[in-house]
Amino acid sequence: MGTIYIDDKPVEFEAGQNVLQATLKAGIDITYFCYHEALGSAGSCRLCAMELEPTKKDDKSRVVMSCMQVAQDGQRYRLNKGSADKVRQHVVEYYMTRHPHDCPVCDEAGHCHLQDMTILSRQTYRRYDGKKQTFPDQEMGPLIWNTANRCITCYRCARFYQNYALGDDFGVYCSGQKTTFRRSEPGAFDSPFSGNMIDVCPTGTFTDKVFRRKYSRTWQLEKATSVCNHCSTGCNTEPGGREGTLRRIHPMTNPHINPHFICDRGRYGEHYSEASDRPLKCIIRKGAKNPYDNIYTHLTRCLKKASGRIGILSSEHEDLQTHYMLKQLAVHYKGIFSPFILPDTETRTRSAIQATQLPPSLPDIETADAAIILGSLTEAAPMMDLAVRQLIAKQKPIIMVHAVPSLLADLIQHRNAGEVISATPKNWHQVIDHLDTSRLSDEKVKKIVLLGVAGEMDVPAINAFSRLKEKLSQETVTVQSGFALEGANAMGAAVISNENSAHELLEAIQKLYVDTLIVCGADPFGEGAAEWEPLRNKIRQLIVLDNINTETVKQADIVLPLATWSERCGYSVNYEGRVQPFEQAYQRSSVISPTEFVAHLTPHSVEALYRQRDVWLTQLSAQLVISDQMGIQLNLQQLSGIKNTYSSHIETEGLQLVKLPWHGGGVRADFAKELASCNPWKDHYVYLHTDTAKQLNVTTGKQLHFKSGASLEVLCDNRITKDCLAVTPLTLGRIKCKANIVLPLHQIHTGETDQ
Amino acid sequence: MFTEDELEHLREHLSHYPERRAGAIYCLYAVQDKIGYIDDKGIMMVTELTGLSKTQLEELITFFTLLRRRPVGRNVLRICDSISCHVMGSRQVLEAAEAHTGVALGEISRTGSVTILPSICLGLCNHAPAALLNDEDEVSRLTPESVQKLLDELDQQPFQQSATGSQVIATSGHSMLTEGRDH
Repeated sequence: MGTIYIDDKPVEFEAGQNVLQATLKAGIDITYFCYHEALGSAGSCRLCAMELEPTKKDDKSRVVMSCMQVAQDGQRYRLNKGSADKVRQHVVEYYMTRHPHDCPVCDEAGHCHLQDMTILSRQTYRRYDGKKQTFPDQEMGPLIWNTANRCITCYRCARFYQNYALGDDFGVYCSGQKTTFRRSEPGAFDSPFSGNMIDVCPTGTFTDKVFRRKYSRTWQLEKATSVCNHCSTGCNTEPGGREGTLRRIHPMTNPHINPHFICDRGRYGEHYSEASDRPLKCIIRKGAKNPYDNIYTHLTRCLKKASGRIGILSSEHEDLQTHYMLKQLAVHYKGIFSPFILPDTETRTRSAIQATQLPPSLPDIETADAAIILGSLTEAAPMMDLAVRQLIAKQKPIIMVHAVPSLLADLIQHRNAGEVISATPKNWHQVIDHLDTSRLSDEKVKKIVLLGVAGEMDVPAINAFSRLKEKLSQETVTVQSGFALEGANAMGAAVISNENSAHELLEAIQKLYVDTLIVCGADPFGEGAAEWEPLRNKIRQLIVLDNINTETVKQADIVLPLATWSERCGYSVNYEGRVQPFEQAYQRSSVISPTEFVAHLTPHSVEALYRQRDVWLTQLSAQLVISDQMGIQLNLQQLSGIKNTYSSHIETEGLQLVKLPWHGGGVRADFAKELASCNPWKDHYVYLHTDTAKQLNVTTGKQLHFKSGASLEVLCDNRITKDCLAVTPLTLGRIKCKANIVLPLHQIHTGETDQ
Repeated sequence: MFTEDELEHLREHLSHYPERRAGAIYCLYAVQDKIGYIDDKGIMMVTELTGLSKTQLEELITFFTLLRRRPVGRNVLRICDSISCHVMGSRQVLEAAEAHTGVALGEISRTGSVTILPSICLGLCNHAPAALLNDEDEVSRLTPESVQKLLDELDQQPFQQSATGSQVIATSGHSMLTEGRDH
């Protein structure tokens, strides 16, 4: 676009870029503070000063802030050669009069922006010997640690929290020398994105409280590019481990998915790998084992005996490589493989993938002109919510349908940013068909994103979603539709498995064709108890690989410790169909990867299995996905295998049982104790709208009995949609019910009616 | 806290702005004039009126020194500590005042007669060290002795039931509930 000169060195810039952006992009070191790629320039820190050379002969040069200066062709700036160098040095010196000299005991040291900038400006000695302003630290919950004295008032945190993440429980207090950044009251942050304050803060004012408990200097961490496994967005992360344990998760930039930030579930949920009850040893609970055999010899003997009667179950939370390897195991032992625990999940996932068209990436969502959201998006895929928040900030029209309390719905209502419809999921297909989209029919609306939450929608609702997409699509309007799926690799699971695989496996067990079950990273007897519990006595041998202490692990005959995603390599497919590889960040000695497991039980070596996998992946995506790429997007329309023909009968009369999600929760994230302690919902309770409670003749504190024999205490909460019974995922397993089923009124009763 | 009539006035006032939040300070002053300071209940009320969050209102209140979150004494004495007054000895005046009341700056004196606050420049540099009593009366050329005398006088002022914070120290929201309507 043009060229500017920094200390006589030509630097190319693009239209709209400011001088600082162009300079940084050219790889020139320059000090800066308040500028942030996502948050833009504020011009307040005065640290990126440069001297602009005059264009006319008699003019004087002047010092300008490069972040506020739009680059113009031919401009000449002095960075280190002019007087601005001294200006920057003095500004840093001024900041350091406010900042404690506590680098040796500060968590941020080593990856501290202030430290880098101070050294870069060669401000190495202090002249100021006066008293420094001090502030009381604020207690900020279990995730973030506040050291208020280290703040240099760059305003980055407030700009991120208030303007970007649209949070309103954290702000700037007082003025002048007393300026301080804190929450309105002590306690954990409300926002699902609060962890980013750690990265956004250029000093150690906000540090990772979980990392603090098992701290390591960042240069001592073993790191690699990984993919977050806590929702289907597939954000790139950089886990840091040391001595075989996970220490922290850091976001890894991927311009197509997460250019800067990650959510708290991604950052703190991964600490499930450090849960005290994690299975880390091989356990054989049943079946005599020759003391001289190792576990694999024992397993091979068991599996050879059971050949032809083996079922292999994985879940949509496991990666594509695991699924591929288990499929090879199924081929070897003539077994049945399913990567879905419940047929309902499989049905919803396949229908959702069919309805996905031009799936919007997160940057696509951020740049759309309008959005329609079906389901509690914050809780299903927090980063999609963060992208939608950018639309709210730009006052773009939004329509949202939801059944359970969602932070996004509250935000839209609070900001008056659009329409929020509260409806029971069983009626969503009608709501979607009759949706008033007149507010989106503006001339300026050129791109609409349609986002659904697969876990809350039934097949009729997904079909209505497709019809809505057709209705909105016009010549001048592009409609991009995508779903937050139910597991990190739900898309990959649908790609690799046969149609109705979960149903097939359940039927085979029911008919006693299968009596040995290998479960890898799934919890059929907890999460899927509604369908799996009655079959428990038909399974003679239960072999479980997992990295969390699930109900299934507790019931298993043989337990093997499975490596987490940070502890092994693999491939994951996100909601867009983007195949992304992830690498092993650190090595934990006692765990095994699914590939090693399969290599031990089949004649193939690990290398041979990897070669086979590469061939298969190449066939799938027409090219091999290699680690230094940003992932390859599958053409969903060409994948003929993903279709859904299975349909289950849906009741319409009665109350619908819905999952009560929260933004930090998940199958695995629930085992990360610091994050889980922020869960606003209580297990073993049923949440009802007051009107529904009246209909059932119960009040808060009363017991509600279910057909399965379980009973739960009632809590009235008017944020729950009428005609819904909302329970946490754990409670759902306990009362042995599937999510989204409709319970006829006679199946739920209060104890009193019996008497 | 407010009568229906007063609330109606506030709503009407807010409707004059392109955005409701523009009238936040006006509403906060109304609360302060009514009860002498801004309490949590008052903040909740202004939240409802203006649509601003609790944090945003707290940010506003802590930014402006004339808004306060804590009760004050029957009188408020703002002693300037900016450069001119500092040079002319405002620090000694503040110390003497603090010693006289027996409580820290910002606290209500034991007799309940006064709260002393340090203040940024009052624009009374020609009378330095200067102070402002109840946001209305200027007190000039203070010395440690004169400030103690002033505080003694305030102590001896007979306690009047009507002279609560809201009437005595009305600020710019002073007469809004009566006169404001004519504008």
